[in-house]
Amino acid sequence: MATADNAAERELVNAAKLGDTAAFESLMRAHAHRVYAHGLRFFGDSGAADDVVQEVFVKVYRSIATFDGTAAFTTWLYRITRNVCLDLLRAGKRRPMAVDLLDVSLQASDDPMAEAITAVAFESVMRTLAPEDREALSAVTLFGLTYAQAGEVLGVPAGTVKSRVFRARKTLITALRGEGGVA
Amino acid sequence: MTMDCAAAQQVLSAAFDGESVDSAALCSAEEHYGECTQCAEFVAALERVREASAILIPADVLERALHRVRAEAAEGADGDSETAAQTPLVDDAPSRLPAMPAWAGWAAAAAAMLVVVGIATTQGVHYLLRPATTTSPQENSTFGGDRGSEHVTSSGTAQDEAATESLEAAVPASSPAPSYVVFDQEVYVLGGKEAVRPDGTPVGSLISALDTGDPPLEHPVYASDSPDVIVIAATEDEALRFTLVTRTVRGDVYSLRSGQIDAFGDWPTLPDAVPEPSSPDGLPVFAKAGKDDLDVSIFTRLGRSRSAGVAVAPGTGRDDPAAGSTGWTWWEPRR
Repeated sequence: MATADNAAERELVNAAKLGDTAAFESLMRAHAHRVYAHGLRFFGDSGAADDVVQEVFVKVYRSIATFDGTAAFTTWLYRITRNVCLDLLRAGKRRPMAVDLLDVSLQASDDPMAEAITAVAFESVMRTLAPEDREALSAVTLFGLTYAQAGEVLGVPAGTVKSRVFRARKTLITALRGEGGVA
Repeated sequence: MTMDCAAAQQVLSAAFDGESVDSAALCSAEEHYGECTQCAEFVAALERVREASAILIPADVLERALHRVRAEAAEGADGDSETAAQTPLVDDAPSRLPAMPAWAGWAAAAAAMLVVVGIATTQGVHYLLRPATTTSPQENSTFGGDRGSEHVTSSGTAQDEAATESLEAAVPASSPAPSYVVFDQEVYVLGGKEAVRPDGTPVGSLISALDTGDPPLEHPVYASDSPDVIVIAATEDEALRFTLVTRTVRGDVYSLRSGQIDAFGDWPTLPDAVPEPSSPDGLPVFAKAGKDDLDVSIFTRLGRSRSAGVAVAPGTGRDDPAAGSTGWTWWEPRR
């Protein structure tokens, strides 16, 4: 999924910093699905994802005036989203729901990858990923960060992001094929 | 095989993300997966995983978050100096907003277009970054050559920015597309004007700004004597004739398909269902599948047959129906 991180978006961010309500809301509407998806996959719970979206919106609103544009907006937004999730976790307000890959039951199919991957199955397998793999995949796939940008936020080298993203994908693909011990 | 599965898949995974990959390694990985069913399946699954990763936020969740921000903005505007200093936005009190620069309205409009039209690719952004221009198909015949360096990825990363900058530099004046419109996902090129406005019942409508420079408008579409020609009523007293853009592969006719084209001068884009490849040779989306009847290389989606459609890389010769296109084009069997 592409991020419209470009001159038009920078203008939009600048307008929001100057108080343009429509620009701010357009900006957040355009990125809200990323925030929601990250929250949903972090906690495995739509109610928690709802909380994450609200907290992120408020934090962005409060601090957008300080966003200096040296990083891409999506990188900045990813950092805020990740921190909000961690804060909710530390505060004990939300707990991730544990899912074990062995507990995941996928529909039998001759060619499940060629058929529609059900959202439930996909999200279930996503929840079985190691948290560090899942957040690397989220940074790259959902927020469109480069490996280097994701590495900067996550505090690891770009090569580590590359490995984590690859490992996450391998796990997803293998599990959704019905291999790897998935019932 | 020159590379093992794990190494090949790691390279292909990085290329899929638009990361810079060593060309020799990519070459080896391509060679490997061309011979390895397991890796070919892995590549095909990458796109499915990406598609499955994208989920929509429920409307009520989005509205609750926006409502909370609006409430905070209103509270800040009512006297909390600290909050007010941090939160200058007040959605229901425009008179309290600071003066907007002239481009702010444009930026908001651009953002609205991004959201409403769903333009998520760099090519879509490319339209926002340049004025609509008009040209004739004849003018287009001067374009062509190797445009591989302008290849655009869809990974939404720094490569997008670089590609956008490349397009910004390359597009003005020198490379507008022919005067295309899209009707029912098929691309038609302007053939000429009709002396009289068509009568009868329209067979549908299309949306285009044509060459006006105004926002796109809906135009009624009328059939003609030829199944490959449509006529649209451009104004009260003017009609325009458009011809379907096609190519043939082993005698089979394929028509050019595209997402919305907003104005004359805009290039076709890949339909939503067809992802952008992340490398100039089509990986990991397309695989070479021979040549068409004009000896132009065609590609198919990995694991799919030609009947599902074919892709053509940018850089085709001036005689090609896709000559001058800055991106991949997608063609499906004529309906």
